[in-house]
Amino acid sequence: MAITRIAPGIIKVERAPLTISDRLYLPQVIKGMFITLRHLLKNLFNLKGLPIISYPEVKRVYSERFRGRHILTTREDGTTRCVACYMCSTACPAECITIEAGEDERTREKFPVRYDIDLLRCIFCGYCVDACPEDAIYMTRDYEMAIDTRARAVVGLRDLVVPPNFPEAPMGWRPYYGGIDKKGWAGGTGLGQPIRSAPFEDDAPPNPDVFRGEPRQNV
Amino acid sequence: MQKIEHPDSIIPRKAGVAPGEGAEKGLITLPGETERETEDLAGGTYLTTKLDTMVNWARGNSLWPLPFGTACCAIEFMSMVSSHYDVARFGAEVVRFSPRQADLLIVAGTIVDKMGPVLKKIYDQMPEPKYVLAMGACATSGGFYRVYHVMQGIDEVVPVDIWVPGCPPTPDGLMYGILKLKEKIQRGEIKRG
Amino acid sequence: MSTLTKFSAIPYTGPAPTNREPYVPANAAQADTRGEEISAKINNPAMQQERGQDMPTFVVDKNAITDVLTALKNDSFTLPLDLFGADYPRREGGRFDVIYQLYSLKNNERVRLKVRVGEDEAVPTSTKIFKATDWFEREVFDMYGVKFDGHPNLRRILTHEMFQGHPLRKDYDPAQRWLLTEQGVAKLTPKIDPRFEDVDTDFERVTLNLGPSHPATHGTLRIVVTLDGETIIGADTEIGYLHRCFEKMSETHTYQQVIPFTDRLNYCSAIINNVGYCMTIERMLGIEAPPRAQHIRLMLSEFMRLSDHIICIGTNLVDMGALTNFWYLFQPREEILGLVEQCCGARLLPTYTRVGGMAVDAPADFLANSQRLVNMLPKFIDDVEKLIMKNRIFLDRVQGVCPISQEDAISFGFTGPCLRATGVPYDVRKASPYLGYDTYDWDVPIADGGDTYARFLVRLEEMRQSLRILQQAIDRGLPPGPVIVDNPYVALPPKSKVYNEMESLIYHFKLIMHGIQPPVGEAYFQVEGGNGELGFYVVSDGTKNPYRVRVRPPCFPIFEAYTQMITGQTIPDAIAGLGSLNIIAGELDH
Repeated sequence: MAITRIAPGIIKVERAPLTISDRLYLPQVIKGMFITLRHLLKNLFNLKGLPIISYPEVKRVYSERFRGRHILTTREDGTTRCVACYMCSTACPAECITIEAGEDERTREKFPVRYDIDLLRCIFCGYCVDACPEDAIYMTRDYEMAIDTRARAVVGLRDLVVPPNFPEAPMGWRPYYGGIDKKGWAGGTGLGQPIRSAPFEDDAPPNPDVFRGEPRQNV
Repeated sequence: MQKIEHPDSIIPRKAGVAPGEGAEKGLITLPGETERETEDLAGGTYLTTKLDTMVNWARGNSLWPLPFGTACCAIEFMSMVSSHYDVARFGAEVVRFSPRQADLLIVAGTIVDKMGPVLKKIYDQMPEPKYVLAMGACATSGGFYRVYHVMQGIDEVVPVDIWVPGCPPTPDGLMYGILKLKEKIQRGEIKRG
Repeated sequence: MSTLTKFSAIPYTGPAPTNREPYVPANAAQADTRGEEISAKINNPAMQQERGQDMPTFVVDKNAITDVLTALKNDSFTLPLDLFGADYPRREGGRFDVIYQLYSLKNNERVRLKVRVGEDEAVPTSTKIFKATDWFEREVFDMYGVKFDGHPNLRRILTHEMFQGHPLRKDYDPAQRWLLTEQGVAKLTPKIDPRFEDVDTDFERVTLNLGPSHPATHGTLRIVVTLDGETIIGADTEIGYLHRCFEKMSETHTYQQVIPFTDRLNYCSAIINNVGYCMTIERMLGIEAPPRAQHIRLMLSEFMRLSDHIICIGTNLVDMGALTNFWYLFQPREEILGLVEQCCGARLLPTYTRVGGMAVDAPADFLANSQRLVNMLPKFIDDVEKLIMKNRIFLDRVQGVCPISQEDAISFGFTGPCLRATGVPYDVRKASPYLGYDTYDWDVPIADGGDTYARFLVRLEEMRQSLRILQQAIDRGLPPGPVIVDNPYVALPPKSKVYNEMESLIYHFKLIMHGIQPPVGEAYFQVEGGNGELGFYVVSDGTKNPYRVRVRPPCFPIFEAYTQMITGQTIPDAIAGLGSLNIIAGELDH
């Protein structure tokens, strides 16, 4: 494309007139076919270099900030970190989090009796993770969420809570610590506890309690 | 996990599980779904049963999508048909925009009240067997648009077989949904005419 | 080790943006003097200046609005930017504000006119002065119920035909839906263009519906054409098939929660919408994002602009049958989306910016990956160019197709690549620079002719210029420092502070529950989107929800001109031209 400068900061792309060989049409077609032939031969002799991600034999590794399905974390003694403060449901633009709070007699802490996320309403923006003051809700790298029954779309405590030694490897979007130290992206779990090394291989299976197949009880 | 390095790409990959292998039986199964038995095709002779199985196998492997793309999810659908994900590997090479020639209606994007009659008409024009996949938060439930013009889920007008949450669902998430639908068809769990 | 040593152990003592004082823009004095000059020049007694705004603003009596508009147009304000409404139900003297915004290409300045109308009053139409106001006035009628005297076709544009009520009024319940049945769908009969009225009627005239579900209408647009043989002699368009009520939703959500809604406006280049909205709110608060955040915003905006142009060119070529280019272009686009995903976790709709900066910092390998992408992209663009630019089939299909003249383009309110394809070098990044665009060495490409070929040329060259900016940005490197402002009334404090300091916990709580509360006032800010000037007009009343958010969609006036562009052409030309306009339904129907 021919380019002429008109003024500092402005260039003009000239409409190129057609030459004789362009009007004949066939020479340009041959040149174009050379380009596609080059791509074809390059791909044919370099099958490993194809950009394709052959799902499901090859899966894409999303980053550690990926906003996938949510989980609710637990403390070392097994109780959920969530104290049912309703900040996540207030911050959610889609109003997809429903919480019912109850009181724990042993510790006088609030805890969620019912915590439902409607996965079909959720827009996976991560505002709930940013809003949580307890490090209770994280997002993982799980994106395989297709369902065939609408009842299974609302995930409750049974499907969200993970055991205390849940590995850090499949984690995605977590709260922003401000980069206090460079240990991982999250920079620590915020409560002074070190990140546990994963007891599994990096591709740990998702929470086996998820989508157990029982329809949600009418709570 | 061995990461598969690719010289030209900044996207890391890893080896997954091929369909049919892995801890769960079946193609792609969510944990906990192994207990679901394929329904016994009762009352059929051996020949009919085999025929049904063959027909279902053929139907599952040749889903021709009609991308009813309205919004952002349509762009992710376009990513799914291009070089990095390539749904053509599963028999969906021809993306037909005519309802007479397609059998999988992928509703990708927000359906508003103004578009409702159009969607119903397109669905009616598709010949049997037809399947509907609702993609994304807006098509499945209206998403975060609880407002005066947005239909709160396309199952107000058409019956849906598979819901794929996400906003937008990643192309592999959508492909997971299509593979799940394919598995359901091939197991005979979706009965069509 | 105490984490407090890394951050200030001294509690925040800076100024809090209060919501009791009005918002005074930084350039209010300049705008006031300029407004005085303009009103002295126009010299119309029905025009009163409103002081203290960010551009010269006038309150005009509704009977004098056409005179004022004509006088301003003859002065130099030839480009109609926007026409919208606002509702102040408890105000005496007319509850609705009909607001006109004009732009002067010669002097690079904007002016705003407000007309106060009551419930059942009508405003004289300005369709004879500017061609763009046709659809904008229909939208004001649809959303507010303000009638325009003399409008050729005053009916609903965004909501459906059986909709009752006017949704953006303050007393309209956001969740009130109306049913549209198949019988209620409008049957359009397009008017025959006067040039073709005496055409030979031996051929049958056919009305054809290129309906909302069509492979070539990207997004949902309805085009009804009257054909005489193969030539289009009359056309009509219908939009609103993706009206997702962004403006009503932004009145019911907090400022922070509106950011995901802005993502979904122009979903092909979503970061640019985020940046525009956040910069408008930052203007109102009087803060500026730190240099590191601005640099990341600039780089991701340019990557997303590349992605937008790739989609436009790729799908346009698919419509013309050149499928190879779609594959060649979408491959690097996947890598761009991979880069965005590594920054913030979502490929297409990032929701990455926050008011005052970015949500999280860029990853450590951001610059290295950007460099890899910038090295990878030129060869794909070169391949596509070599395949099409000299190909006679392509050139025959795009030269002279869907042309628009420069005067018409300006009168329709075009901005962006479609305007630059007619020869007007207007780019918001050069005219009103933001994010440091004026410190980079790059050029604005223009072309002649205003047809599809010129739009192709402009977009391909713009992609190269974006790569130029990106290379310079990578060479400069990311400036060190924080990635969001330190002001706890605006930005969520980092979690290390929230867990250790009482004040930060309370700021966090207040920000989530009550949100950002800017001072009372209105602001308009514009950025260069993929299609042109993307403007956000925000009115704040001091509470946590915006009072009014208006997005100026760049492709709304462009699609308005489409019927004029296709009369006299054939259907394949219409399809080729439609793809080149880059109509994104999410933005068109906002």
